[in-house]
Amino acid sequence: MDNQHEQEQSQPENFVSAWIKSSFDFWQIWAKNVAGVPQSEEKGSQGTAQKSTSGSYAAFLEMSRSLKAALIESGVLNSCLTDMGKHPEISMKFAQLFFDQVFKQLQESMAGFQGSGPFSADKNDEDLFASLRQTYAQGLEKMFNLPQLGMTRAYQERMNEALDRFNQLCVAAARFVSLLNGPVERSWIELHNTVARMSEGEDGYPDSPEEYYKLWIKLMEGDYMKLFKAEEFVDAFHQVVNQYSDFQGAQQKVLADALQFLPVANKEELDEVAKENYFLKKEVKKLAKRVKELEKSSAA
Amino acid sequence: MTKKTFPMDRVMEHMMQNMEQWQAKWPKAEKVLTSELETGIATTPCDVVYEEDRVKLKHYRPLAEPQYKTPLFIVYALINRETMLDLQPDRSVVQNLLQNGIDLYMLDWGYPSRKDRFLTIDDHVNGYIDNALDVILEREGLSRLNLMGVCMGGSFCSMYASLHPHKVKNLILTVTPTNFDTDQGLLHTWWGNTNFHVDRLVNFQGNISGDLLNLNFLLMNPPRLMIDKYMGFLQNMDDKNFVENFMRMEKWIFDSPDVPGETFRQFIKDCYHENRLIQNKMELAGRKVDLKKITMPVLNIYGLFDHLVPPAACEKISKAVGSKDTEDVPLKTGHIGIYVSSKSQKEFVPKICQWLKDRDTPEPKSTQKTTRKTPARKTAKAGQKKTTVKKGTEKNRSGQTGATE
Repeated sequence: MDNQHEQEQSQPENFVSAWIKSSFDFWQIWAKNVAGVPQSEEKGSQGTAQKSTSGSYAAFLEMSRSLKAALIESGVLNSCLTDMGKHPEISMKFAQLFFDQVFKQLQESMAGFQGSGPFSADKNDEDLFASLRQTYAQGLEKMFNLPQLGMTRAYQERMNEALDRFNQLCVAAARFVSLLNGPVERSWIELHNTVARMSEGEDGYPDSPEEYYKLWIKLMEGDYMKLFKAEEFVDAFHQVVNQYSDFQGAQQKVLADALQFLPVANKEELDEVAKENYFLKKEVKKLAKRVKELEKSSAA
Repeated sequence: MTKKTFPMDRVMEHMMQNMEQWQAKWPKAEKVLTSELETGIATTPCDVVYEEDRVKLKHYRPLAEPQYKTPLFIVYALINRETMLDLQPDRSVVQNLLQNGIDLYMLDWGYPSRKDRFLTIDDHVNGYIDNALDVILEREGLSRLNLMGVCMGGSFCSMYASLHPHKVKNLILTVTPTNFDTDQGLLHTWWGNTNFHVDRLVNFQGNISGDLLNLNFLLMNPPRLMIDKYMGFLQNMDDKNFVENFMRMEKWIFDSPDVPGETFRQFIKDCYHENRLIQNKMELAGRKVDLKKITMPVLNIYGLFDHLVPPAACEKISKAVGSKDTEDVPLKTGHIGIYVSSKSQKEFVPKICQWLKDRDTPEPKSTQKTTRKTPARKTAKAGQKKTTVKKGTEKNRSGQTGATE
């Protein structure tokens, strides 16, 4: 019974109701005291002012009572507080999704390392980026695309879009850089293997360190050439360029929002001016050429 | 067979020797690097004879008695700058052509700014190139010119020659991409794929940044262009001549103007994605570019080891044009080497000069009066006092003068 009572008390809506009730009680007592000051002590204009003040307090008190009734007694407050609890649930859901994916990826990587699954550094990298993309699409991306409300809705949406695009650019850039790093890593391994094979060759090992450097550059160059023609790289290249373009577009929108408070033209406005200028100039050049031709023909 | 052991002692010994050599080199290298270096590019004297927006038409002063009846007009690409043709005095295509007695004009595209983002290929071909060519014809009192295009500039020249065949006497294409349906070059693999969303890039970027393009080109061979090249510099930095030439090349490579957005969009879509040029399907402002209308002689020079514009991208034009006088000249070199390597200097310019000489028939004079005020019949030395573009007045990207001179 006691436990149940404690639980009821620990509920946020009960706590807030108690707090509002005690506040109202305090102001009620205070207002009554102020209103109850004897009239004989009032003098002249000061007395009139006191009267109007006490009237205001009384009106405020009445309004507070109505508000209290509306909030506590009708159950609106309870409903509000219950709904407020839902927002963190959404965030938790996103976080849970994200961590699920991360743990899944970690498990797969560990399985690869322990030999219970196929392990390949490149494949694992690629899986990691695919997983990152998937995780992002399932969690954070949805959060950034939640509908916004109110007067600042459009600004918030543009800001969220810029953040979303930036994150996507980071994922694409990470994959791209990882692919670019591949030949450097592989060329070291290949250099090691090539040098090991030299022990069996007739020529043996070269003495000059420059020879090893040249060999390393050559191996790396060959690997890069293979990589650059691979579909995987071409796709990563396009992804990073496309994401970069999208991020720039989103960033420009946010910048335009910020610039509207300053006496500065934004990119779109300048582009419009440039476009008008371009077409005007083109027309003028065309006319000037025509005039020149007419002058020539009339002179002839 | 017995296994040999790794000669760690000998390798270490070599390393120590190298270290000693480097230590010995360093004082000299320090002297070279802190001395006044002659790293100016594009120093051959010239006059700007026409300007339109950012574009300048340069007329070079002859270095020898004129040997040809028709001047040569060179159109460079929009990517990087035409200064590559005049990189260093002993390896300058411009100077070699002048020394052979060719009257030379060259278009300088300048640095496109934000206001140029809407310029299309049509504006470049039927606008700037046509206007500059008209100015030359008027100055020289001629009705046709010899036209030479470099890389993307060559593609523009082939479009121009198709649309204005009556103004072009001979057409020279150098490392010019006209067939984009190939997987030989990395650019074709990367840009030719429709997943490369050029619309998104242009819509949000406007002009395509020169730095972004440079990054793209550096990516084509990171070990050579980002590591080995600078290792070479470290090894030779006590050699003043090497350092000067290296710095000239470095200046040229990273002096990359932006490319007007709409031009880039059209070039990627029409050429790289749809390969319209070679199929006679390309249109400029509603006018069809029909390569069969190229009836003048065509010389097509390209590099066999070109990784940017591979042979497969250059070869087809000779068969696609309407001219019966065509010649393909594949050289054993790369995209830039064709203009700057000492080996190519011995083949490239002499070939052009000889080919032009063979076709240097007297040109019927135009009915117009010659408007050229100072006939370019005196040598550069004699005319130096009247220079309109002097050493040190070349504007760099930020509009400052004299940085490269």
